[in-house]
Amino acid sequence: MGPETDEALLRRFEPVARFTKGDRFFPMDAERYVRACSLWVRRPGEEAVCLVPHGKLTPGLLAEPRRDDFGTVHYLMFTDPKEAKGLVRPRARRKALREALQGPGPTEEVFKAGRGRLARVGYVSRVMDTLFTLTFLARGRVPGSTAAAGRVAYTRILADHEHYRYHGRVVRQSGWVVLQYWFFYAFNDWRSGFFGANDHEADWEKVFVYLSESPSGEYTPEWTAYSSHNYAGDVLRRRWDDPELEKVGEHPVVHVCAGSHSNQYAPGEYLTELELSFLASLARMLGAARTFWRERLRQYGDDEAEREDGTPAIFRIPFVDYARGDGLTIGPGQDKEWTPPVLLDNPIPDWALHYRGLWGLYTRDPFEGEDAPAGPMYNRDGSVARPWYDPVGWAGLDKVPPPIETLRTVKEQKAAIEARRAMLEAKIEEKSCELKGLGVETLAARGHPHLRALHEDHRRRIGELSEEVNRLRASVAADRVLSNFLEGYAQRLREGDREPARAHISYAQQPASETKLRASRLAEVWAAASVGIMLIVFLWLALDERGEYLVFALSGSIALFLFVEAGFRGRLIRLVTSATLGLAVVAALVLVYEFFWQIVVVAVLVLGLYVLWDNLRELRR
Amino acid sequence: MAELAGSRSSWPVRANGLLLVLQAAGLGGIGAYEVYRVDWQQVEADLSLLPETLDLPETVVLPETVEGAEHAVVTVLVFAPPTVLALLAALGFLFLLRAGWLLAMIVQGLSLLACLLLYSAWTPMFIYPVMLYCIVMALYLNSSDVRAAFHVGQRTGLPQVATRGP
Repeated sequence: MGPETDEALLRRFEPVARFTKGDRFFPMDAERYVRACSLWVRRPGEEAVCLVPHGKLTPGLLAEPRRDDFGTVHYLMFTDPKEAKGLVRPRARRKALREALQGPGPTEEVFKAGRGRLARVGYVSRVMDTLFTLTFLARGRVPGSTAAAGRVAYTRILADHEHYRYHGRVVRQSGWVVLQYWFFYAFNDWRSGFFGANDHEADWEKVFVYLSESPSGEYTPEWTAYSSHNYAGDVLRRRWDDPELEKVGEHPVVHVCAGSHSNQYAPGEYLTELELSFLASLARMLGAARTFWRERLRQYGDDEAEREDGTPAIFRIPFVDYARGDGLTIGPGQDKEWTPPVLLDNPIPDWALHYRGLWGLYTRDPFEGEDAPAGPMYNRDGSVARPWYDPVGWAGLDKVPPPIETLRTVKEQKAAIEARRAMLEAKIEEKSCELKGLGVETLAARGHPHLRALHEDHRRRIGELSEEVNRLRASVAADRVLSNFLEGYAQRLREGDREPARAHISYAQQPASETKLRASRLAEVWAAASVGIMLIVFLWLALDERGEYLVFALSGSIALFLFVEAGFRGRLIRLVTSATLGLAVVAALVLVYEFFWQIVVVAVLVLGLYVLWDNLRELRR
Repeated sequence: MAELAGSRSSWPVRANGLLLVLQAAGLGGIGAYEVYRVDWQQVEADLSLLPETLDLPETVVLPETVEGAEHAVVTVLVFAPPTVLALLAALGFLFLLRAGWLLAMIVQGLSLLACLLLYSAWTPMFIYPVMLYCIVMALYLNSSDVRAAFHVGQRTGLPQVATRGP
């Protein structure tokens, strides 16, 4: 397939991207970005060195091979630190933007957060959030005014040449034709612009459309996969007939999250949770305790308190991803049309193939959230990224044959199973004969003391062989069942039956409901202020109250805070249940402490009586 | 108040109602017994011998009768709210109101709190059976079967999350 055909195919299914009002960065040409950058290198234990200054870098220079020591990081710098320093004051920012805006530029619509993320989550998460914010004091991070400088620099590029461009690639893998739409953004201002988790220069996001190809060469869209933070697998994928997948003609609609540029299928506000890896073992222990509580003790457990993998949600920091879709829309027939795309294949551009460094500022953040990403082909460590070399597996589609191949795959699988079954049956026959022979020899040896060793050896071998034959028969039985199911599935396929469109999704991100978003302003204020007020009250009580009343005062104030919190969040039932069960645990410990031996005696007595009753009951039958 | 739907014939509803009536009777009985066994005339006489101040120094030892009366009053005070609420919860079950479950759970919490308070004060013996009863009741009320019967914590309108497919 030639590049023209690839481009035509890409343009036929190119997405419609809906942004949130107030978003400042849109998909752009990566080469123009490179020309606006400087190139730097940081070798282990050394200060960063500028290799190519601002205004001198070209995609060709970027692609030049660079040999260096292990641990060396090459990175681009989009913003000029000197310019960024001058943009700390809002007035200076406005002036710089006015100067940059010589023509049409990015949207000037203002973002309004609405109900904050803190009002949507509990106390522990809010305390964790405070701690996470404090970690920025110790971690490397993108300086405060860099986002403003990035905006000015991006506005200059747009003023020079307004364009909204994606980078396209067509890949054929496992029977699928994958249309890759790579979106490059000059800046991720999620933290500074939209109360998110991080800021970084440069952002590569992607939307893949999976086509099946008929023998006559016709293409049918079957699936889409949108990149969303670090998620991978089935959760990213939607079938073309899924009602959640909005389309404009043949163009899938992407709702781009403000700042983070994560992609969503439906408009709305999404709660995205950042997992703290150092608390993972504690979270797993709590998850195990919760499973014991629910499954062994048959007690009720709150589904909202844990996530899809069973770990408690309290150890994750929540952030809101605003994918409202009420801002600029880019796509065929929309506010802005896509500029003709840059193709990333046949051949791969040198800057994509040879430059393995970061595409923006390297902050040395140990969590990597503030470091710029690498290019479309690579991970930050320079290894080739899975979406590039395995776009089918990245979306969990490697186990799904294209529709045209499904029936054939089922038949092949059934044939393979039947062949295996025939082989196993032959083996069973052979082993059975051997088993019978051994059995006869064992019977013959009985009653002859001098054949004791032979008798015992035969018995051992009979046991082993019998176990093996049993395993083989179980496999044959399972294969027979599987073969029948495959036949049934093939029949359903012949009748045109398909699996439900969302059968592959175990956990789908959902936007916050209207009810949740309608919470009062008072609840938001409470959420923002309560953690701080609670700490101040505790400190005041500790300094003011002494002796026996301190514990009561602290307990009372905690209870009051929790009660108000539960009221705001509509979780009084949960609070009452937790408090009562907590008291029940304390009371149980008191009983065990006071009556340990009596409890042991009663337990043994009850056990004895039960055994007696059970045995006597058997005698009466 | 929301009514329970389809639980008229559910036996956990009836069992809980009965257990709550029993609990109310027990707690009320304990309070009544504590009040009954105090010789209030003697208490009055002993009190008249004490200095007329509310802020007694710690060195003053109260007579046994006065201390017993104090215990009886505290017991009644801490057990009265759960007793009343237990009756209300039982009525809630009788009229198949969903709030009955929440009231019943609050009763267990208050009763346990009262017992722990008394345990930390003068440790009367009656608190142990009450604690045991409340522990069993709390676990029973929180069991999946009972909560399902009362539709407590059952959310509707959740996003459709299908089972894992291929």
